[in-house]
Amino acid sequence: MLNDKKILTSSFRDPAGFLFEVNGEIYRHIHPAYFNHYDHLMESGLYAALQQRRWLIPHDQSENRDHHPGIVIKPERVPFISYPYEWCFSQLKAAALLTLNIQRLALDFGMSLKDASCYNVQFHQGKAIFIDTLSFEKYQEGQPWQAYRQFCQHFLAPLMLMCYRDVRLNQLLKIYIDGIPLDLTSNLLPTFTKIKMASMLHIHLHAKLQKKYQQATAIETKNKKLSLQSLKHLIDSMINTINQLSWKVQKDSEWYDYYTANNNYSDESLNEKEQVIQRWVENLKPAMLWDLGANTGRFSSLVAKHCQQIVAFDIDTSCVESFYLYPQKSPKILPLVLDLTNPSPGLGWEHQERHSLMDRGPVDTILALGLIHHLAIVNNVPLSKIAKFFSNLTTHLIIEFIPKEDSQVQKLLTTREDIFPHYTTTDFQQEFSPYFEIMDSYPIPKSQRILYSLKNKRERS
Amino acid sequence: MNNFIIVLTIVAFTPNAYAYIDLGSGSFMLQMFIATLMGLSFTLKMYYKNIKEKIKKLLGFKSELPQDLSLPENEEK
Repeated sequence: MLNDKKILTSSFRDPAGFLFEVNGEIYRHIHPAYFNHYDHLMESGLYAALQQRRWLIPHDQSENRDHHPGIVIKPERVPFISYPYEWCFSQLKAAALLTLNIQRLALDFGMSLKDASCYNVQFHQGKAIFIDTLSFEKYQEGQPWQAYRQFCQHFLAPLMLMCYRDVRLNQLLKIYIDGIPLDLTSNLLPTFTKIKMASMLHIHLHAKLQKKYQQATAIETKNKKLSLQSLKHLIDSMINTINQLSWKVQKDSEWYDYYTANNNYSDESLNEKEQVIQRWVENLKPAMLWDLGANTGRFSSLVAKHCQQIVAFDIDTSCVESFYLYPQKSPKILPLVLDLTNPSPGLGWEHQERHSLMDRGPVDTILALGLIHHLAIVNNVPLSKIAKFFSNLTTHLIIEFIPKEDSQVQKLLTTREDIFPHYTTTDFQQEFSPYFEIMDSYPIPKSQRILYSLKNKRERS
Repeated sequence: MNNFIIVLTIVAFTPNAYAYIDLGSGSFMLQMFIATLMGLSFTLKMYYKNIKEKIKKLLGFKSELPQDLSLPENEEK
């Protein structure tokens, strides 16, 4: 069985083991050099404690270690891998707190996290969860936290930049794959952060000390020890620091109040639209649905009961933040920030350590409501290109066509020249026809808009 | 002139390369420093609390410490 294994392109840095895929299932190979740490994780009670709190991805030990030059475990599969540059503020904060809480708990069981990468956290069943089982190493008395610098670069730096400067600065994580350099963070943070204790220590002084000791060797550090108690206090104080960081949803953002103030629907037509979409999704019962332009998640929430998993993308951080924090949100839904006209690219080594949006598809169903006019008219993307884009990403497409006569499109055209003679219902059907067949359509009452249920003409294996 | 602009652009926009620089030692030293700082702050807090308690006692105020910790008062009872 394991002869057909395909090693995941993101899994090559850790000498303790690697991830591989066989017949769509994910496995983790553990090298003998890590057995000592793995056994301690499993036998010390730490693994059980982490499972009790649902902090670490559970796994089955599927293969006997005698039959392989290592152990093979089968971690539960996370249906959609997301990245920190797609998270809103509270998602990154939740991931940071999870990492610190795990480190604090690990110390109680004689272990420590050897890395604190934000890519070790994913969102699964509505909660942040740690996915790297091989990050735990036996703690050695007197040792500092070796992942402290990485934690500051991956979590503290982007969170402080988002909190104190601009929420969009987590996008720097796209450029710096090992977290935002602390000297850059120090330069970007406002001056008042130099007199705030946490930012002064963990960012500004940290950056200065990195520079000062950049040529330092073991000579300067070998005789210095950090007691376990001091290390625990350090982690506790970092938990406090993260807890105090906050970001308020911008209620005056472009999209935040779309459904309450700006949507061009009467109650009756919105109700009709909801019923039709719900019926179509119920018939499709998709394993994975992507809601593109999800806003604050109204339609994702509506169809959640008919789907196994939903990823709700929106360009507006305030919408995503608000939906993520919505108490009644289904755990099946993962809200993420995404600019569809410039979606997440493949990053890292050979562009394959972090996958592009396209690489993470195709999916069963895409919901594209109130979206196409923004792609075609605001961003000048021809309908043929939009059709091709969707055909590469989905088997079924539920899409709302909003013609030029619609008042929202008219609003878009007030400040730009109408250079879109081929943006009509007929053109829409014609351009989508090479890729999709129309399964059903529904003109929304008291509006010019039409809902389409389309099926990809290409058969997928 | 063109070459100068190209070189300037490269220098201005190339991220720092840390290949030969050890970033870990600075982080290590900072952890030691923060631990010392926290230890010092804890000690100062304890001193402050004790002095505050003694002054309150002298002035006849009731202790804010939990009863089981304020031994002299318990003994008096």
